[in-house]
Amino acid sequence: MDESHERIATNIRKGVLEYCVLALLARRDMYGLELADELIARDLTASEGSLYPLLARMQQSGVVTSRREALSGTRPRKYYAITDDGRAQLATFADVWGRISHQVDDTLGETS
Amino acid sequence: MNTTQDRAANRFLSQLDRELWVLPAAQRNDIIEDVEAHIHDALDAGRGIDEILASLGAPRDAAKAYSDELGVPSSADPAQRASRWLAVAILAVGILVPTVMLIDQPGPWHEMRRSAALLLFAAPIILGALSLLAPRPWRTIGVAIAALGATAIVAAAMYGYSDFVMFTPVAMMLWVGVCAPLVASKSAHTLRVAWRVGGGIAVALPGIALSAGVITGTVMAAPLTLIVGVAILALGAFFGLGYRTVYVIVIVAGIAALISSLFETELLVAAIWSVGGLWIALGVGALAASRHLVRR
Repeated sequence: MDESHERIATNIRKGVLEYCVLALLARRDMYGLELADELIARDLTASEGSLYPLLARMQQSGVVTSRREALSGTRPRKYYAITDDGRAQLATFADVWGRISHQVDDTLGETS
Repeated sequence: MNTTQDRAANRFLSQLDRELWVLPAAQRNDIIEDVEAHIHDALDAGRGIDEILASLGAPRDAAKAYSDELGVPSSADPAQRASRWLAVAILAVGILVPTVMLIDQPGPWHEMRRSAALLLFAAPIILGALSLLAPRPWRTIGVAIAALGATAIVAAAMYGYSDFVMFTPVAMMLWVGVCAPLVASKSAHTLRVAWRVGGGIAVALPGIALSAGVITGTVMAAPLTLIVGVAILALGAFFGLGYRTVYVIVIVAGIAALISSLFETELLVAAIWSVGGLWIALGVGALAASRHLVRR
């Protein structure tokens, strides 16, 4: 029971993690650990292992950029920022997600 | 960071670096830097090193996640592996051809001036090596130039320099070297089928020619001729269907044809020699382009 719960959650998270990252970065620039903590706190990802490869790909496809920045007294950190392309994708996703979640809710409602 | 933490982190990072070998060095360094920064930040935030490393996953899994996300199959790029494999095969043919010629017809070699003989001997090897040694960005162009060069030499055979027919296998191999990496690339499914079927027909060509000869009566229908003809047709058919064992048989048959041309009468040497070259090239090309080979 618990195992299938976890499996279903993992599958769904996998598809939406990228857009949750975009949504978080749309509010403010963040560095890796900050993003990871935020996503885990929101239960949007189970591990950090999948976040960094995802960020590498998102950077490659141009939806996020990164820069090194040393705030006073700390080690230089790599901050991620959303690009215009990223914002456009986020808007598209929000639209698609709205429709799908609505449809899924409707469909689930019909069966119960 | 204390020494225990340091050691655990370094071990993780060097393992990850090793597992990431498919990626270019610059990309690999970026990744290692990111992960290292993450470990530092997490330690500063008061988390234990074991917990941090555990949440990053095993180095091998993390590396696989990177190569999946960045679009690199976990065994290197098929097109690249195909071209590397082909380059070796081209070089092998480049060495085989003048060696067989030397044993077959030592006559012309003696008549030639030493420099000319040396050039004739070395040319196929150089052409083959070009595809192996050219630096990566120019490799495709290098093979294409070598293929054009070899084709020009073969063309010269028709204008009196008949010995240059010996370059036919090398020229064919080089053309396959130009085409096969394109066919091997991941997205080229239709092209791969066309390549296979076209190859099958080309493999069967001598059989088709032989059948036509028997039907029109220009070739005597001796039992051996019939068996050879049918065998070649069957080989072509199975080649077209994509049996990898058949690719290997075709390569071996090609090598056998090159060697057997040693014992043929003058008239048939050029034909059998060319067929041998064609078979080797087609077999190697099909092997290189078939996905199973490149997927380890």
